[in-house]
Amino acid sequence: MKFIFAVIGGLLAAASVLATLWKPSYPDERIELIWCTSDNPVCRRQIAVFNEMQDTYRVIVDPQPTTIAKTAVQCIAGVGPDLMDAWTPTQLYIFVRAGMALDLTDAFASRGISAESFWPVSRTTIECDGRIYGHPANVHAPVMWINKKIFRENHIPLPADDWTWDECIAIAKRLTQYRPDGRIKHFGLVLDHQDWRDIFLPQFGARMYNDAGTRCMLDSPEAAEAMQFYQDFIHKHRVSPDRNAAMNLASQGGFGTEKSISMFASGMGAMAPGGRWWLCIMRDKAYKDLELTAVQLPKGRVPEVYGTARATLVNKAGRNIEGALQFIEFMHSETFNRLVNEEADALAPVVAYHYPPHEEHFLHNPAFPAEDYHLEFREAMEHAVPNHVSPFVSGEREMQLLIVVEDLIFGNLKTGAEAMRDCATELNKSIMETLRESPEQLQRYRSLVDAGAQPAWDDPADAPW
Amino acid sequence: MVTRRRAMLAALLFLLPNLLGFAIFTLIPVGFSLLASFTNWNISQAVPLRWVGLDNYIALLRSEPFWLYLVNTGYLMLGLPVAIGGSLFLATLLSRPIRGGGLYRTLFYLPSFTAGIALYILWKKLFNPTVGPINYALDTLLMPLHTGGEAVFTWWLWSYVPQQEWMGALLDPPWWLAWTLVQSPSWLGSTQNLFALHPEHVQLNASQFGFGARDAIIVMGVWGAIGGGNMLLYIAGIANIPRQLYEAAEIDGAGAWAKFRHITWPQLAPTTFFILVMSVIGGLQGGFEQARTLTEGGPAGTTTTLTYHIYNLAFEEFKIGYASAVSWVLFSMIFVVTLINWRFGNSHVNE
Repeated sequence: MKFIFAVIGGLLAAASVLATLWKPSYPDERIELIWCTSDNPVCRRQIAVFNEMQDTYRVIVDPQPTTIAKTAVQCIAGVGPDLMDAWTPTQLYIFVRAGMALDLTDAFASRGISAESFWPVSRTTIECDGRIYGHPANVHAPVMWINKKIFRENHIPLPADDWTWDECIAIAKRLTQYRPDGRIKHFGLVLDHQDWRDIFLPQFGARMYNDAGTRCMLDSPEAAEAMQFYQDFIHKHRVSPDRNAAMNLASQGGFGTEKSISMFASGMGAMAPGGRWWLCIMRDKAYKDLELTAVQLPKGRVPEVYGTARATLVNKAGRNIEGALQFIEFMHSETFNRLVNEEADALAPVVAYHYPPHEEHFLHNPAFPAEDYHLEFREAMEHAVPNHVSPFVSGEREMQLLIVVEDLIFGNLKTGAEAMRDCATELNKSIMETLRESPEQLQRYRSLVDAGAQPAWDDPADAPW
Repeated sequence: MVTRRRAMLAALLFLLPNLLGFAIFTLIPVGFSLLASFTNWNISQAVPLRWVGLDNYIALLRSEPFWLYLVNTGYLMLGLPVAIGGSLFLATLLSRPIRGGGLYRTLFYLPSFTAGIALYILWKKLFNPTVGPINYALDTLLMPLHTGGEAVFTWWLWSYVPQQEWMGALLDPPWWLAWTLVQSPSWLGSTQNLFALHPEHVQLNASQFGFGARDAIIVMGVWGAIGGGNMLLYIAGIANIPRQLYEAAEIDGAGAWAKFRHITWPQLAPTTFFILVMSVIGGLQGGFEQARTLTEGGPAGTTTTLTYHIYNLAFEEFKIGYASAVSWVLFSMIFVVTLINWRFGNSHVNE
């Protein structure tokens, strides 16, 4: 027995020595920069271009979904990436408050990067407490995608840019059609679960939070109306997919998480609010028969929609901060911005690359001559505003609450007013919870309330000071 | 004495890697989580770390989501008796001398050595409410019931009930009662459940009666568990029952049911007890993978279990202290339930 153990021990030791000696040779000796981001073909091409230009650094992707749990835990454990993405302002707050994001204000100044050069919607995802922490990777504002073939087959003229929601509902009703066996042929309007936030809230003059972020404003009549309007598309007008139809698509997966893209792209929707980045999917050969155009969203009471941005941040505890800053500089370059526009990865972060002398490049991609509607995206971005956020609410808690609200609305288990009232109550509770936990936040909050901002409570006796 | 001490030293040396691993990766983190549960540790809000005593425990007992997710966890455990009974039934069948017994055992065990995520994605497709094969089969089966039920109800209503004006309203929209009873479920998209539990509060709501996401997860769990490790344990248990007991019973004229009731079932009591204890522990700890893959805890949080809640608190909301407190409460529950099982179940086994 001893002999057997000795032999096994000897073999393992020999294997270890061999493994050490046969150290695999890497294709190059450049320093690796790890970027926690969405691992998709568009992103990989952006990285390939950077790597081609670089002698010292080479970026590799550590796939990160749109939630930041994995990256945050890696950072806490001291094995974080060099670069990481924030998809929402609240994710930025988490990275900043936890001391993970590097303050880029001075680096921007020394490299000649001005935050004024970005689309305004990106400000909330890169800026916190007046300091800059990220460079936008892309920006997005919704337009209305149109399936021209469905319109043509039903002899309906394409909508003009100044159309209204009433006109949209009328068209959607005509274009919601069923097959003889009762199955859906196509819906008139495919709405995404978050369209009530990004489109209807601003268009009805409602908002998630007040300007200071000290109170959730979803209990306003405007917010209730906006949510009811969204719900009516599904349950009253029946022109948008209900829960069952949405479940149909849920198992199909795809690039990103948006089920409505798959539904629209597969011809099951005549219209769908969405962004330019949908083209990353719809340019696929599988959808070569899709005849597309885009128009502005129907006009609401207020001519605004929320725009969003994805920001790339530098890990404060990263091992290659200089390399990460070089990648940030690359994101500001003409090469990167033109590449984003060329690949339709939403819109490029720098405004200038959408206007002369770069306009032609943005408007027309020779590889896709049928895409004659890119001007619509620029126009939508010009009217987009950053969404209202609160630095006093945990972003993930907010997301969980909103998902529950959306589920209840999808299931028609609550009216718009009930859903918004309950959601506001919970979010205001969440604000107060933050204030109880964090003296620093409490101090900041109190100064805002003292300056006139509306607090999260109605009864002054509930104030946590 | 020296030889014995040397043997002990050798044994300890062999155990050392395992003990070190256990200490570093289990014991110390578990102890650390206990300490963390008495703090306000939260990495997302730059909250100064401080000792909060029992605040986290008091807060969670007052938190409605905690009770909701505890109810969800309990509800998902409703499938345990069915799964255990199914395993016993399969084991009884497969213990008989049948041709291809080995093949059947392998086939029934297949779900246990298939990657869970692959199975969940498969079930997701099966549960698709519109184009999924489960609802297709249900629709085909229920259609005659549906139309037949309508016909019988109409006939009864018009023949035996004095005609009233409100009857028209009852018939339009058509047959809500029959429809509710025989309509194919939305499965993973539905908050409905067989106990009519409210999705947002720990209370009942009649409109929530039906099949929904929780039931879908139970069905899937039962399917996976019936032919799994429990079946193998029962097969092993049955193989260990002395043949003489059956032969004696046959001489006394006992039938198949009598032999099962008076020999197999009592002889398998220790196995059943073990399976029950392990299943309850697994049930209280479970539901995370299924919910994460199939429903992301929805719709409206109805498939969020305690373990999923802990994950959300710790790795989505970054409330490490509070999440640790929930973990310790869950551990305490498992410990108490196992003690109760041990105390009362064990006495039945020994009888």
